[in-house]
Parts: sequence; structure tokens; C-alpha cells
Amino acid sequence: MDSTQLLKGVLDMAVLAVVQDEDGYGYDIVRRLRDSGLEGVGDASVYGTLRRLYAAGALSTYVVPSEDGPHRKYYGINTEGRALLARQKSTWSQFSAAVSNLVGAGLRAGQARRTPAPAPARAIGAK
Amino acid sequence: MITVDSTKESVHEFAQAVRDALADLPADEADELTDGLEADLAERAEELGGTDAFGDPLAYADELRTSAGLPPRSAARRRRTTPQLRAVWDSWWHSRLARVRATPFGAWLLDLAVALRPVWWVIRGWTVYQMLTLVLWRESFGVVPVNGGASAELAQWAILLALVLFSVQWGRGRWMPGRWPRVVLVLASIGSVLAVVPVTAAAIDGAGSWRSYSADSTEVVSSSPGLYNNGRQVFNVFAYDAAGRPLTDVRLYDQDGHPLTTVPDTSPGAFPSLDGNLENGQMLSLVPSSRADGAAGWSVYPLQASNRTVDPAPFPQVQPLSPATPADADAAPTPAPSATPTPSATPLRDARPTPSATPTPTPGG
Repeated sequence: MDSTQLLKGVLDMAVLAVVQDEDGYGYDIVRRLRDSGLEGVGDASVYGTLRRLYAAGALSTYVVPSEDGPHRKYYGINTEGRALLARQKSTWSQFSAAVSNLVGAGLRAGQARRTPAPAPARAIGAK
Repeated sequence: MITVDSTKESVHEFAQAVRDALADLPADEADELTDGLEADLAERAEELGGTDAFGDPLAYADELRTSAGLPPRSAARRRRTTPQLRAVWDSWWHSRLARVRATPFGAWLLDLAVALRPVWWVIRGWTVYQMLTLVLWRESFGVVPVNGGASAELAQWAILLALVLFSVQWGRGRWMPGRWPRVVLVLASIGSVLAVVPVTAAAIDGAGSWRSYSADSTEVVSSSPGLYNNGRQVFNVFAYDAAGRPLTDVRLYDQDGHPLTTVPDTSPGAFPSLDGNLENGQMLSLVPSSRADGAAGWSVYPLQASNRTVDPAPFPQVQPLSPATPADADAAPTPAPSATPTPSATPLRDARPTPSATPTPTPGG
């Protein structure tokens, strides 16, 4: 199973998770996600997700000028974002528990082929 | 330092390309998407040691906008209209064909057209070749390239055969390329239909101009006014008969029947006299013959010098020709009707300037 497909579904939650303790700018957030084990995450996907979460009101943003070069745009979580993250976390834990259960129960090969690999789930859970 | 600067530059270019790819979005939305992008890209480039791993800016922009929840670049609009137009065109075309096929003559005509399709494929290839030579060489090399000289000819033949082969293969449905070349091929087809007549005219014309070009290699010299002999201007002409004696009052005409004149302009009064230098440095001043009117006087040779101190004739007499062979001698008393074309011209005394059409009777016979 291609982990980039799985990532699409959980990227919102992952991005919210890595800014919940500390604000960050675009590439900083990409680096945090990769350090957490989401190696396959694309820069542009993360930047797009940040813009979308900001437009949805889950993130706040501010610009920090740089002495030598273009300014950086920082993102921080707000109350709405924390509520969204909480909802997504609970959905995810139910979902991942169900899928883990399914895979762990040793189903017939034909059905097992369609279930996701658990690796990315663990990475997010570790954070 | 140089690499830092060049990296900064390529980061800027990449960011600009991404911005360009988002240009169809409303300005504030595009700004929102790309705000701070350059700083992020610069940091990543620093980490990777360059922008080589960034990939295609268009793909980057697509990823950016889809993850931001925006529609991909005007794809929605294109997908909607193209098949619609196609469907409209297809139904119109098929109803037309059905109507034509309903009549016996229409059916016969359509079958004939279908049978002649391979001919059209060849013509299409040939037409594209002609358009290409007109664009690349600014002239046609004829219907087929046989006039361009060996090396040009080889390239021309290669291009022609390749285009014809390509056209035929496409017509047969082979070598079916991807989506966008189809557009190019359809345009080439339409262009060929429109261009086939003018291009054929140019090709026939081109074949003609090549022939005359190769025959007339001294075009530059002959375009100068006056009479020239291997690049040197001729002022006067001296004729000698078979015995080597100088002739006077010889009237000369060129192959088209125009009087042969050494003066650049024969219109009345343009040249009262023709002045030139002999190789020995002597001045020459020639005047037209007084025995013919105006322009005609300039084609009566040798022209007389106005300054009598100079004798213009280069030789008082030349070597006589070798005696006629017996065969020639036998033939001489009986003049063959076609042997000597006698250009008829007005007798000198009869001062009419235009040559008359009256045939001059050949003496003897």
C-alpha cells in the first residue's frame, strides 16, 4: 500500500499535531513531520494544507521578517484548531484500532490486500 | 559564494514559476498560497545543496493548490467543453455523410473519395514538404528536388520522403501518437488542404526559375547597361568576311531580334557620342551611323569615330578562313532552304526604323 495515499487522509491531523506545542513556519513544519517518520510527505502538500487549515480558521498566522532574504510565515494553532485536532484524534484512534484489529485477526488474503499498512499510524501515534 | 547566489537565483526562479502556474487563481488567493514560499524553498535548497531535487514547478503548483483544496489548473473547464464540442461536430459530420450517401451519386463519390485517400496522404506529405522548403529556403526546388545541387538534393529528398512516409503512416492509423500531436496533425492536414494549390504553383514556378538561373550565370554583368564581352565593356564591333577583309555597315541583332548596340541608352539624344578608352590609352569617341535613323544607327558596325585622327579598326585584315571542304563546296551552289536564316531588316537607304516582315529573297538558286 502506498503510504502517500494514506498520508492524504491524515495530513490535516498530522500538521495540527506538530504545531500544537510550538508555532512553526512552512519548511520547519515539513521537517518536524519528516523527523516524526513521515518521510514521504511532500513540501507543497504541507504548505497547501497549512493554507487550507488557516482558511478554515484552525490556524493563526503571522509574518516574521528576515534580515537576509524573504520573510517567513509562521503558523500557530488556535482554540478552533485544538478542538478540530481533538475530534480528528478520536476518529483516528477508533479507525486505526478497528483496522489494526482487522489486520491482526488474520483475515483471508483477498481482503487483507485492501487494508492499510500500520507504519504511518504508529508514527503519528508516537508524537 | 557563487553557489549561494546562484541557488538564491534559482530558488527565486522556481518560486516565480510556481506563481505563474497559479496565475489563473484570484490574486489574493494566489498570494495567500505563495506567501512565505520563497523562504521555505530557500531553506530546503540550502539543506539539499541546490534546487535540482525540487522537480517540476508546475507539478509543485498543482500539489500546492490541490492540497489547499483548490481545483487543479482550469482542468475542470477544459474537460467539460472539449468532449461537448467534439460530440456536436461528430453528430453534424455524420448526419452530413449520411445525407450524401443517401443518393446513388453521393455514395459513388464517397466510395471514390475513400479509394483515393492514399493519394491524398501522399499529396499531404508533399504539400508539407513544399511549405517547409518555402519557409526554410524561401523558394521552391520544383515539384521534386532535382535542381538544387547534389548535397541540397539529398537533404531535400530525405525530408520529402520522410514527410510522405509520415503522412501515409498517419493516414493508415499507424504511428498513432499521443493526444497533443493529434492537434498538430489535424492542423497540418487543414493547412495542406488550404496550401496545396498555391504551393503547387510555387513548385512549378520554382522549377522554371531554377532552370533559368542555371542557364544565366552572368546575370550580374548582363544587367549593366551597354554591351559586355567577358566582363569588359564593348564599344565597337568589327566584322571580317571569310577572306579576312573588313566589312563596313554590318547590322547586328541579338537572338531576340533586338538591334545589338554598345551604347547604354539608344533613346534619341541620350548619347550623342559614345566615349571610351582603348587599352593603349587612346581616347575613343564613337557616333552612330548617319545611314540609319536614330537608334538604328547605333547597331551599324563598325561605329565611326568622330575624331578622325584615330583609326578605330584593330586589324586592317585578318587571317582568311580555311578553304571550304569539298562537301561544303558541293553544297554551296544549292542553298538548302533552312541553311541560313536571313533576318529581314529594312535596307539602310530606306530610312524606316522598324524591321519589316518582308522576306528577303535569297539570290541564286
